[in-house]
Amino acid sequence: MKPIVIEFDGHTVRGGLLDDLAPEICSRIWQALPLEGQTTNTVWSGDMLRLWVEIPEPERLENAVQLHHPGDILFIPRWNGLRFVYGQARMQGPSGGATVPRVGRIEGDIGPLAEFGRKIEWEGARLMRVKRG
Amino acid sequence: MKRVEIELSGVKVRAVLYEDKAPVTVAAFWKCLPYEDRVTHAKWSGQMFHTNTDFKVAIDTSQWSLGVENPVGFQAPGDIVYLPGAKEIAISYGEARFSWVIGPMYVTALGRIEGDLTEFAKKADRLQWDGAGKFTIRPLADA
Repeated sequence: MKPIVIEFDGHTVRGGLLDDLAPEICSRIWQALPLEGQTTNTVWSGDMLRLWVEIPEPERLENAVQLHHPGDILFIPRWNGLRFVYGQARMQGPSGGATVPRVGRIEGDIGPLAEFGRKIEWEGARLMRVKRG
Repeated sequence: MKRVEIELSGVKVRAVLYEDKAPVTVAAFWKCLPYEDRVTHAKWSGQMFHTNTDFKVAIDTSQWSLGVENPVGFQAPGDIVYLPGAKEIAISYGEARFSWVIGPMYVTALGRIEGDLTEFAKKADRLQWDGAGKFTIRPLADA
């Protein structure tokens, strides 16, 4: 697992890219780091944050999953950017659930990330930075 | 016919309430007006926003087989819906379907915004970027 550090709103959490399960996508993300952009909540997928950055699109889906857990980091082909799950969530759109690559995990307490998500809902988009750990 | 003025972040629109299709809910809703709140963007329902302060109404929902009066499972832009269980209303401004954690839900079709939705929709879309917005519903003529 490739270590990463995620910074937002004065918090720092650690995580890792699942390069053993999603080698091509994780390589593209790793090469793109550091990434910094605005973060909003998703509008169809529940407690999930979207980091609005551009990452080169992968050739194929890797480690594709339908259900997600708090702490999961997802990459959504064609919708780009990274998604961070901080509660009950499922990647979906108007036509229902989507199978998407799980590319990483946040380690430890995700409380600060959940607090960040709620803050964004009420106070608006905030910056997030992801860099190599 | 009952009509209301809705203001979101400074943009005003007018809406008609479905007094004929949802008489119980509309009557209860009408008693709560004027209503002020800070609304937030939906996280499950697409291009839709919702209120966060309970409407102070007590409706016996057991009288309807689906638990809501005038139930709908889809919304068009400008539709105003009410969820009795949460005592909240939600307004669609684009591609939307009222949903929660377990999926789409039946809600009461309460009314719809009349006229051009363009500027209102722009303000609604900004909620996901700017955070909560000021929201007011005022009663208009009851005729």
